[in-house]
Amino acid sequence: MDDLGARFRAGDSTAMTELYRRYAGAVTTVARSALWSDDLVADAVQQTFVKAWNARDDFDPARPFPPWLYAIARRVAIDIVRRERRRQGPEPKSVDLAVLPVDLSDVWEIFEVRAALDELPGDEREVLRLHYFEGRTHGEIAEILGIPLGTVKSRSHRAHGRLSDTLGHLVAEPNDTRGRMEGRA
Amino acid sequence: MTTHDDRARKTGEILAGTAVWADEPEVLGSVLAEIDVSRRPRGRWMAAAAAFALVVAVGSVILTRPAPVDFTLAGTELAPAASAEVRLVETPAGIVLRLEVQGLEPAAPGTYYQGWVVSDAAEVSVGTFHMRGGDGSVAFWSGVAPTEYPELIVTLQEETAGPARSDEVVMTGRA
Repeated sequence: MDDLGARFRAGDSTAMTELYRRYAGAVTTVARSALWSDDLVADAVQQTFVKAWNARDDFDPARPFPPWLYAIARRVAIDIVRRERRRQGPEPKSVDLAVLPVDLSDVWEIFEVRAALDELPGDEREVLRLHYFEGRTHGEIAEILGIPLGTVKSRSHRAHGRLSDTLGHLVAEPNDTRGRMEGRA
Repeated sequence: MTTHDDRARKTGEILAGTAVWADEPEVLGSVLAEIDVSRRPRGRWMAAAAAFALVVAVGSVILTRPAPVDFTLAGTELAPAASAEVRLVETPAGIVLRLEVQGLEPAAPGTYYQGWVVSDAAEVSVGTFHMRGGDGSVAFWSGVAPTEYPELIVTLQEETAGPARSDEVVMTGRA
């Protein structure tokens, strides 16, 4: 965090901009885990950063920023769920709202991984996204990006190494087979 | 106890899920506008606005960058109860025009409101909204300087009428 946390606590709005750019994606994963519409997610992300700013006197710059921000994001998401349930009344009009399970048990880990992903260079992140999110093989990624297969492999290797460094544990490179979409037509 | 291998496996599962790749909303401007409003003493705003108004009135000084100003929008005969306070916030990406809107009727289905900043020679769209949730905040983004485009108007638009500005102006004001 360098002095970013200290600048944030001191009320430097440029520090807020830097923190937003670094963690907005991670905060989005928390909101998206509990909320069901783009508008509510946007509301949650905005509220999280505004509340963090308003509570900055409570932030200890000697401690890591992400867990502190995550706690705010989680609370904001839960509050919005409750607000929307109250707004819908005893018989919710929205089926999604009626059956929504608010399970935030794994969200901290997702928050951490997303924050680490957002620190990667764009070209390395894109290789991971294509592989994991779209289920592409390295060969397919090479075609899509118009780069040699070896470049895809080296970017993938570097990306996994950076994630390992950031997350503090080894992120195993998968075999070059289909990812989450394996088995799909 | 969570082992190293467990965490690595878990991370692999997270990367293979959809949640971690969720697209983030574009709300930085709204955040900056809100925290700016909350931390800036009102007196400073008014002083800046007065200084800016003086510059505009004299008309003899060319500003090279947008000055911080705030002003109000008044409802036209189409929306006489409507009004809005406007605050401008400079960000690295552009100017945020934050409106606190009161008394503007929700846009009917098939219609929406649109903001425009206007100069003597041109007009630039700064965003759309509907107010179907009642009074509240609206954040416009502008890529042109308020010193060059000092007038802000809000029009009622038909969804099927194309992108051109309609003549149905519901609020107007000038920095």
